[in-house]
Amino acid sequence: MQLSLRWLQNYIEIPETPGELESLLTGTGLEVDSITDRRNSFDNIVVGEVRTCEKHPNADRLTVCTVNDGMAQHSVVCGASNVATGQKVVFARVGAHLERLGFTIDQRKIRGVESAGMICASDELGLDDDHSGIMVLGHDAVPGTPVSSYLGTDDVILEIGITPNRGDALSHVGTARDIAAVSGRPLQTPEVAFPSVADEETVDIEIQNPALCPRYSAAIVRDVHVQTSPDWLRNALTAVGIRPINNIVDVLNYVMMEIGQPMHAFDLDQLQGGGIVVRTADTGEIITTLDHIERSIPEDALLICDTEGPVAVAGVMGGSASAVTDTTVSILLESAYFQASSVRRTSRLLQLSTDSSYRFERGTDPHSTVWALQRAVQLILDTAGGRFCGYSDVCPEVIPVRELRLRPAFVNRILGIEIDADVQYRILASLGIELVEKSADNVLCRMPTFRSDLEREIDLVEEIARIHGYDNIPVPTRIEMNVGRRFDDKAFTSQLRTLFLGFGFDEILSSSLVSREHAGTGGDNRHAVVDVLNPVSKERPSLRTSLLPSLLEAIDVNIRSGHPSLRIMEAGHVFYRDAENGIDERNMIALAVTGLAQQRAWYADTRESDFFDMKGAVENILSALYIDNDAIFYYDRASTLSDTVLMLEVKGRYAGQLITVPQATLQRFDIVQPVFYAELDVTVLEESLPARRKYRPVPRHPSVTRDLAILVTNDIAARDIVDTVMKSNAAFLRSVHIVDVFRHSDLGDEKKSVAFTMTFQADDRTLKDEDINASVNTIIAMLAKEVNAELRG
Amino acid sequence: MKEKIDALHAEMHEVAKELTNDELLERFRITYLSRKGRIAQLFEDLKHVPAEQKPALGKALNALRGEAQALLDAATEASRQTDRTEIPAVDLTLPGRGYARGHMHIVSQTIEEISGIFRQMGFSIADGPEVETDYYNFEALNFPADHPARDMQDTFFITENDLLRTHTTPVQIRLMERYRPPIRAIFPGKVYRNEVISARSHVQFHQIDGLFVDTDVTFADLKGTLVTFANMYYGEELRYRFRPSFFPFTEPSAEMDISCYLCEGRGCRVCKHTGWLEILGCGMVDPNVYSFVDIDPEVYSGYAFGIGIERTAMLRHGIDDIRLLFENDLRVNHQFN
Ligand SMILES: [Zn+2]
Repeated sequence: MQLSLRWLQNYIEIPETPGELESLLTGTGLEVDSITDRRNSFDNIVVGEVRTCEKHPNADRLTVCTVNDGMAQHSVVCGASNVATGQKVVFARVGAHLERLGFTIDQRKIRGVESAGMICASDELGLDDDHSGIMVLGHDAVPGTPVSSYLGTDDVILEIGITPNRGDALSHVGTARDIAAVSGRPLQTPEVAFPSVADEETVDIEIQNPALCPRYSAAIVRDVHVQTSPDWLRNALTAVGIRPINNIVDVLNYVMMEIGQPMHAFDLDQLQGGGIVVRTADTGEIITTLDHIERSIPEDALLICDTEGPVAVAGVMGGSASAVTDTTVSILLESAYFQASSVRRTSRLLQLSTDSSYRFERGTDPHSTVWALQRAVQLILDTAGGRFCGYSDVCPEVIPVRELRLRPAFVNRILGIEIDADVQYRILASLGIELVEKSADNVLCRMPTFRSDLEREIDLVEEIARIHGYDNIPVPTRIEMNVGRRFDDKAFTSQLRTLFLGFGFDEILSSSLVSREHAGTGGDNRHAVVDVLNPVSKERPSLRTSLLPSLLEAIDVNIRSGHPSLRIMEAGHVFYRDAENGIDERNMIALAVTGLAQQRAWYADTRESDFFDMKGAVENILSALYIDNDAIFYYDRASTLSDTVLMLEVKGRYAGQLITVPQATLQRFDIVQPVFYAELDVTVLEESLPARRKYRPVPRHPSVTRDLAILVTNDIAARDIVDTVMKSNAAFLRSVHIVDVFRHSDLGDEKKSVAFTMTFQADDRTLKDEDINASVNTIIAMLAKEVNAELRG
Repeated sequence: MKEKIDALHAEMHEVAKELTNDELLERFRITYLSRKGRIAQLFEDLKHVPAEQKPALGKALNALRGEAQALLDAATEASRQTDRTEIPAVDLTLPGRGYARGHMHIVSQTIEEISGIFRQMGFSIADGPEVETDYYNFEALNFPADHPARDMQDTFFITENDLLRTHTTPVQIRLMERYRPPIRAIFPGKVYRNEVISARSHVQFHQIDGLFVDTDVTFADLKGTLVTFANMYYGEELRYRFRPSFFPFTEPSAEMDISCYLCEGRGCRVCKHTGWLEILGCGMVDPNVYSFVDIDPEVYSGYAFGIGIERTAMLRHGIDDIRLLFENDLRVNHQFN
C-alpha cells in the first residue's frame, strides 16, 4: 500500500524526517518497503503562461511560443498541437532534468529557431502515460510556482507492506493511529455530518443474510455533475497509485484511502425498483462487472441486488449496468460491513481481487460505515455539486463489541521483562482500547471496532510488545537449554553425503517436480505417479518416483556445457501412490557416473567409466557403514533388463538397485554416452545399521594366501563362486577375492577362467601347509559339486 | 711451528677431497676457518714464537688461510655442480596424482552450517514428510480456512486434503504430538510454493524451522537464541533489529533484520536502500497451536522461528538467480566448498 506523507499530515503532526518515520512505522509492524522522496524531483520546472504562439517558420508542425515563467519571457519551440495563447502550462526551464526522458533541458536551436526551455506533456513528467498533448493547467495557476507544489507532488511516498492481520492500517488514518500511539501526539480526524434536508428520502434496504452483511448504510445524492475531479483530488489519488476516474468514483477512493472503508456508487436511475436487497447468490446467476467481464457468480456469494437481479458482487466489484457514468445525475452511495471470510471466498472463486475486497477480507470497521458516508457526501457536494437527499443505516443485529481480560503478569511472563501494569494500560489506551474495569491482577478491556484482529489476551501481549518496542526487550546474557534427550533425524543422510563426497561425487539438488514423461523414469512401474492438481507449469506436473530423471537432466546440462565426465549424487525424497491410494514418500540417495573415470594424465591412460566405478562406490558405502556382510547383490530375474540391473538387498530387505541406464531412457534425455546409476533407500540402510560394534582381538598369527584358477561355464556368476567357496566351511578360510576373469577360444566358447585368492588364518597358531592343503581340497570339491568347476593347471 | 703448518696443509687437502655435501662443507669451515678454528689457533701460537721468525711464519699462515678458503670455495662450487647434474630419475615438478573431491551443494552447506550452530545451542534435528495434509500445513498452525494469511503461501495440492508442504513449520506439530515439552529442535527441509519460476522465486526451496517449548520460555529467550545465531553465522559486529510481523502460528510475531553486510548499513540495491537485511521470521508459539496438540498455554510457553536457506545462501555468496541453484551446472556448484 502506498501512503502520502502530505496526506498523513492531515491527521497528525509529523516532525520526523522520512528516515525517522520509516523506523517508527517499521518498529510498530507497518513495514516500510520503500520511500520515494519526490520533494526535489521537479526542480526548475514551474508554471508558465503562454503569451504568444506563432507558426515555426521552417516547420509546419512546430509552434514558436513566448512563455512567461514568472521571472522572464522565454522563446520556446513546441511540438504539441494543443498549445494556445493564454494557457497555463508546465514549463521546464533550461537546466531542468526530466527523469522520465533521461535528459536535461539546454538552450538550443530547433530548425533554426532558438528554444530556451520546454512545455511538457504529463507523461514527460512521469505522472502518467498521456502524450496526447501538453498539460494544460487551471487558470488559477500562478506563473513561477514550482510545479511540484502546484501539483502537490512535493511529497514523500511510503510503500508499506501491511501484514494480513492489520486490516485496520490500510488507510492514512489507520496508519496515523499507530504513529499517534507510539509518539503520543494527538490524532485529528475530520468533523463530518450530513447536511440537513427537509424532505428526507430513505433507501429501502433488505438484508436477507445478516451473518454475511451485518450492516448496510446508503445515502442518496441527486443532481450531481459527473466530471473530471479537481486537481487536488486527482493528485492525491495519483500520489498513492490510484488512477483518477471521475469525481464520484475518486471521492469514494479518497475516503477509502482516508479511513479504510470501501464504498460503491450506483447510478440510482439504473437501479430497478430503487431499493437494495442483500442476499446470497442462487445457482447460475450472472453479472457483468465494471470491467465489462461477464462472470458466473459462485453459489452462496453475497450479492447486492435490485428488483431485477444482481447489481454488485458484495465487497468485490459493482456491475457495469448500474455504474456511474458521465450522464449519471442521481447516485446511491453504499457503505457496508461485509463478513471478511465471505468476501475472501467470493474473491478467490472469481479470481478477482480489488482494493475493496482486499480491505473487506482483512476486516473493516463496522462502525465506520456512516462516518464514511458523511465524509463522501460532503466531498461529493464539494466536487460534483448536487444535493443530499437522505440516508438509511440498516443493522439488523447489534454488532458486539469485544471485551478481553488482560493480566499484566501474563504479558511479562511471555515477554520475559517487567513492564509496569500502568505502562501497559497506557499503551492499551493509546491504541484506542478502552479500559473498562481494573482489578488487582487484571484489566477488562474493550476493543475498538476497527481492530478486528484483537481477539485474545495474547493479541494484547503483542500490542503492548510492539508499542513498547521489540528492541526494548533486552537480550538475556544466557540461554537456557533443557537436560535430556537429543536426537538427529538428519545425521544419517549427512553421513552418507559426506561419504560420497569423499569418493569424489559432486552433490546436486534438483526439482522434485518433473514432467509427466520423466516422472516414471527409474521408478518401480508397479506404482502410480503422484501428480499435483494445480501445477505452475504444464511441463512439470508430477512428483518424481526416482532420482534417475533428476540425475539424467543434470548430466545433460553438464554435457552441453562441455563437461561430459561426471560423478554426481543427490539425496532427496521420491513419491509413489501406494495401493491404498495413499502417498508413499521415500528418502533416497542416488549416484551416477558417466564419461571418463580417468582423465588424461602423465601417469595414466584415460579410461571410460563403467558399471564397476559406480558399484565400487556403493560397496564402499556399505563397507563404511559396516553392513557389507549383510548386503546381497542379485540379478532381478523378473526384470526384462535383468542383464543390466543389479538389485541390492540388506538384511533381507530391498535396499536399492544398480543399473546401466538403458539406451531408450538416455535418448529421452538427449544423452548418447553410457550412464551408470545406483539408488539406495536411506531408511532401509539406516535401519540396517549394526548396533554398537565390539572390539575383536587382532590376530596374533600370520595369515596365508592361496590362489586358485578354475574353469566354469559362462552362466556361473562371480558371486556364485564366492558364495560356494565361503559355503564350503573350509577350516581357517577367512576371505575370498576374485582377481581375474578370462575368456579365450582355447577354453571353448562356453567357458571362462576365474582366478581368486583365498586367505587362511588360525587364531591359535601359525598354519602349516597340510592345514591349508586340506582346506583347499575341501573348497575344490565343493566348487566341482556346486558349479561344475574344473581346476586349471 | 713450521711443521704444524705443513701438517695442517696436508690434512686440509686430504679432507677437502671428501667435501661432497653441505654438512661436510660447513664442518670444514668451522674446523679450519672459524674464529676458534685450527688456523686461528696457529695465529694465536704465533704470539709466542721468536720475533725474527714471525714475519715468515705469519706469511705462511696467511697463505694457509687463503688456501683453506680457496679449497672451501672450490668444493662448494663442485657440490653445486653435482646437484645440478644429478637430476633424479623422476621429475618431482610434475603434478601429483589426482584425488577426486566432491563438492557439497551450496544449499546443503548452508543447512549444515546453520544446523551446526543450533546443535551447539542444544537443538535436536527433526525431519518430516514433504507431502503433508492441510491439517499439519495450515489448520493446526492456525491458518483459518478463509483467511488472507493463506495467500502468503501459494500451495500445490495433490488432493483436496494432501498438499506439498509450503513450509517446514508442520514438523513442529508432529513433534508436539510425538513428545511432551521440553521440546527443542530445528527441522531443515525442502518446501514448495506454487509460484512462477523466475530469478527471485522457484517452486521449491529450503527452510530451517525451529521450536523450543518449555515452562517459562520468553520472547527475551527467543531474542537471545537468535542473536547468538546471527553472531555466529554473520559475525560479531553486526547490528540487528526485531520488528513486529505476522505469522498465524506465532503471537507476538517478529522478523529479524541485520545491518546489511554488503553496504555496512549505508543502503544499497540488495537491502533496497534500507540498510537492513531480513534474515528470519520468529515469534512466540500461538496458544491456538497448543490447543491442537493438547499443551496447556498456562503452563508452557515457547518460541518458533524460520530461516529461508536459498535466500541466506544467495545473499551471502552474491548469487542473483535462484534457478542457478537447481540447474546443477557444475560450473556453479564447483565455486563453493
Ligand atoms: Zn545494503
